Amino acid sequence: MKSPISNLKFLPLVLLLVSSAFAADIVPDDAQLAQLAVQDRGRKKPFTTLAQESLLTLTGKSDYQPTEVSPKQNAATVLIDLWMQPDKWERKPLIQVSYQPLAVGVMGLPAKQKLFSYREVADSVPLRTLLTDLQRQRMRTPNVELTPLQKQAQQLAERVRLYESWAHGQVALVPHPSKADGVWLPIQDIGTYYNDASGAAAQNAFVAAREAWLKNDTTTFDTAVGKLSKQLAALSPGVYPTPDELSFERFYQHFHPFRWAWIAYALAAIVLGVTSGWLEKPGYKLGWILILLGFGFQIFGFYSRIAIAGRPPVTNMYETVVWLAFGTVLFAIILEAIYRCRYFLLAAAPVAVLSLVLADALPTVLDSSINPLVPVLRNNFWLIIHVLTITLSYAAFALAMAVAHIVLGKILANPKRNDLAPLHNYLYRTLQVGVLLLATGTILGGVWANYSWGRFWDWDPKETWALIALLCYLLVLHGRIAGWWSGFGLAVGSVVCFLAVLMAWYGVNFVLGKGLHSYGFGTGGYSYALAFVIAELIFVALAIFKKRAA
Amino acid sequence: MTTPLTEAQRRQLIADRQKKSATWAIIHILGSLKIAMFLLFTIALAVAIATFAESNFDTAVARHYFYRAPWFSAWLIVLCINLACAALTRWPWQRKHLGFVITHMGIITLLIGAMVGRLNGFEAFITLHKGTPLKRLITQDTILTVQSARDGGLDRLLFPVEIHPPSETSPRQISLPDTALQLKVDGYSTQMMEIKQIIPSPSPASPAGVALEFHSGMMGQSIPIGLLLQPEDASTFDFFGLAKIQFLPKLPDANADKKKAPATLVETHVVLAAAPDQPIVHSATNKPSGYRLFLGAENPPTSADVPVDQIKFIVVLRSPHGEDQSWPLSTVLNKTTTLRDGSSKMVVAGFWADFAMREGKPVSLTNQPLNPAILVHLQINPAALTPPSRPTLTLAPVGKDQIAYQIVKQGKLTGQGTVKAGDSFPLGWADWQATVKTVEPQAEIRRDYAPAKSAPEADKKDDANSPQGMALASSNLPGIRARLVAPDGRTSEPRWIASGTSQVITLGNEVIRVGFGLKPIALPFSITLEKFEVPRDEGTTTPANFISSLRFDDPTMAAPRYDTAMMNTPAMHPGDFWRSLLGWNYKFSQAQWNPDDLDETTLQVLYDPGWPFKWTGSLMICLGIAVMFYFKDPKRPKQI
Repeated sequence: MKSPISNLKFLPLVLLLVSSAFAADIVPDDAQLAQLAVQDRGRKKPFTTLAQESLLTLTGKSDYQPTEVSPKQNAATVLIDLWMQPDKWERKPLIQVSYQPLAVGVMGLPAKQKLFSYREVADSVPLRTLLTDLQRQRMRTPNVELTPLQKQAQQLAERVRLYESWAHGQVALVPHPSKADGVWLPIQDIGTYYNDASGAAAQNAFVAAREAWLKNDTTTFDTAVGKLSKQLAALSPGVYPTPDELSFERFYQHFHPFRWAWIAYALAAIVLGVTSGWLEKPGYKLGWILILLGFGFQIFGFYSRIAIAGRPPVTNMYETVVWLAFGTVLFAIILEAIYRCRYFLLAAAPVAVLSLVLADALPTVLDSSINPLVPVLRNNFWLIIHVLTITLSYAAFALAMAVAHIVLGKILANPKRNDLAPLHNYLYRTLQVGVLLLATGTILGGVWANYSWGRFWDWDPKETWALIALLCYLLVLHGRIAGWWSGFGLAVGSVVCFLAVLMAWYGVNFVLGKGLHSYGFGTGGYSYALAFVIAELIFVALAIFKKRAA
Repeated sequence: MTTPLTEAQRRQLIADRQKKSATWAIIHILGSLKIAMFLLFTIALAVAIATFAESNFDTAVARHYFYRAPWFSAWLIVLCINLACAALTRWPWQRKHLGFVITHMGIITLLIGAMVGRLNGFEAFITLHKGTPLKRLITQDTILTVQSARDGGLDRLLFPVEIHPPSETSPRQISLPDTALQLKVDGYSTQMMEIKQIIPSPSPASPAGVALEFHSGMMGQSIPIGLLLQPEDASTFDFFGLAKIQFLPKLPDANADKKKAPATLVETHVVLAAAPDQPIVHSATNKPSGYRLFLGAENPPTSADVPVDQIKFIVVLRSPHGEDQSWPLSTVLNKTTTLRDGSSKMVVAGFWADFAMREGKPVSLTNQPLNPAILVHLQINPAALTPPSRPTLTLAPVGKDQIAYQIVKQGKLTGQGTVKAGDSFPLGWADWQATVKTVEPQAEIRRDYAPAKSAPEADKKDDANSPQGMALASSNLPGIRARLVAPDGRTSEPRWIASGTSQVITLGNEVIRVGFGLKPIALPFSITLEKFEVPRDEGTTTPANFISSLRFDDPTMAAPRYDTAMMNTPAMHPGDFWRSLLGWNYKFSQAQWNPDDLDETTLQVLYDPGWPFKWTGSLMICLGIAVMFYFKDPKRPKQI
């Protein structure tokens, strides 16, 4: 068995590590650090991105603030410090244990705290026992279904492992000499690839950086990092990402295009709402401009993710949530351009704001990091078309739901009014878009499955719920043809059926998904979703009640 | 499609025909929107419930009660009738009905495709090993095969066991064709164990055979072992990795090989109790020995306040072969200890209760066991690195009814003698004893199966002597217990039948061969795995793709055909365009892989003659909806 740190260069390095207990509130130069590339989870990325993702995994937050009174530290500062002087961090709270049954129930940690030190977690005998049992269970039955507690314990073990890989200097900085997909090595193993002067020079630059860090010397540290990244790049120029690529990703990470997008949409919603009966024309124009501005930010955001990942951005919950906002606004723009009624923009903006804010605010539920795809999703034209179509149909239904809210809101305000025929028509047009896209997307999914999984349709929960959602909308449309209901029924149906969409989209992954029935993601996401469902049902029930009473 | 009728005339015509013709009246009822709404609603509700059933139980349950249940198929047929009738109620069709008719006919076509696929096509699996051609696919349906000795006719019956496994309280009885007998199945086990019986063979050319029973009082286990002189795989038995048992014509010379030892390996380990997976190893000879060290405690501290001198630390040394040797820390600290092989040495040169590096030196920050660590120097004699030869029991026939045995352990002869049927002798590993059951000068093996007793908890002890034998001896093969029942109530002995095997069951004069297993399908060509590749994501071991290079040897083709199955890109055979379009070929999609054997791949095989209906129907639905929504008759007044 080869130990991960069996290289002999490691020993002197460990022995050199001097703990200066009063360290570092130095803030390294982000631009310099971003030029330092690392290989992590199947792709090359700027060091800053790795630090950001690591801190998020360790603490669940994107900044480090152990107590409410302590100053915020950024991810790079914290992780470089952990890397450079690991023993200083062993007893500092850095690892999130927020699942109470695990933290309090099993490990006996204090209830109010969320962050704990490496020692507190790694030395916990009950946790170790739990993990050992889990491993034994796994060896007996490899596909064993984990309990929520075991799942959480496993995630915690991954956090501990991440901590240890930083503390042990396992940061893959040294590029492979020739192969673009070759394994990168940590700096202490540089001799394995570059046993020459250039390798020694890079190692010296690293030692200089570390010494500067330990002396709290920001300027020297930044210079040394700059030197280090240049020397590493020079070792294998064909493999190392170009400075432009690295700074582009850093720019994307800092710029937050989707955040700017929701701000623009929120302003648009306010402007369009406020000017409904006053300054209508300039208000409408300004609303249009703001919507287009937000849309532009979103397009830029998608462009960036595609450029960084080299693949379409529709593979996890985060990306579909962002794509939903995009689709909603897209259809609103098209329909608004046709009907010029302001309702589409007014309806789309809050939906887009809501989904983008969710994506922005729940980084642990909706993981925004860019990772390689699992094999089944790779290089697949049909898959991309299928997912984009389905998600666009959800977007259309979200828009329909938002328009339905306007209809039902007007009914609630004045149950007797009967001048809503144009709104009903808008609703019907939006539903048409959704039904066409959902039917096409579901069927394309069958074509894709036939091609990829070797069968057309096999009642997989995801495809089944897409079908259920489609059947629900078909019920609404056919009921209208049968004369069982009219525009008001369409509005009620648009809201209620969207709950089926929510189930197909979120529920299958988070509620039905085996072993994920209740916790983890659920603690955040599940209660929000449930609250949303209940609120919508109450809203609809109220509207029906008012309408009946009138 | 357009008729010269005006809208009013058309309505009149539709109203009239319902009064005049009973057929039309029925069509209009069957095609009514009310029925359509009812069907849409019930189907949506049923499959919604099914997804929850799948989540709470498993896929088999959802399939059995919903997706593949007869009532569900019936419902879909009713839906087809409703759709067809709904389209007919609009007859005579006009241009405005174009989208409507295309969509509804598309759904019918799609459902017909599903039915054709289910009745005439199949889904199956094939597990290929590199270089071995195969023609047989395995489906996921379990079947019984029944063959009567009287006429040799073979019957196959579908025999699902997943949802309601047969048991003594709910047995299943099947009437056997052409006899008055019934087959009663009243047992099911998911884990069957193979037992090799040695029986006398009528053929004088048969090899000699011996049946032994290994018994351990400590383990409370008996393991039957049957060996033949020929062929090679019948003459040896791997005793669960603990020992090797072989049956040879003559005993070999016990003292055969001795070797010269190369240079000693020198290593330094820093072992942290808290990080057993992250040892810090410095090999002075630059070649890791593979030895691992662990620091544990007999009484692990429950809190950090326990003083260090109250903890009984234990040093564990694990050899590259997984053999552990352990000492209390106090007995080895600052001493030279000789290891089990007699020549390698270990020095525990330092201990720190709360290890940390300060100014380049290891120190103990406190006297509390917060981060216990030791520094160990090892000098390994490379001879210790060659795996110890496992104990070997060698048997050889002596005369007609005697057996000579010889036990070799660690290269030393530890036991020998000559025994006959009924004799026992100790084996010398744990308390295992061997008893000779039968010795046959001409023998053959009969394979029998029995359900494995519940496997002993494999993790109770990590004692090297506790064989996880039974767990290993049993497989994940399921099996059933069956017996014959005559009309007068007589029954045969019950027999266990493991999946993929058959057994002969006799009752009076009736001899029936009963088999149980997954339904196989024969391919009209053979398929060989030429190469299997698993490219990985850069810098990780995460698979990025699975690529099976396949060769098809088809008797109807002059030369073998080659194709590649990878994720999202199935291999086809025969592969021409028209056959693929019509579904008249076999599609091989990547389904599973075995991380421990990269020369193995499992492909899902699909033969689906319903495919052309499926894609035509799909196309019609999408096109129809688009036409319905966006290509309106310009002459028609706008509808809100």
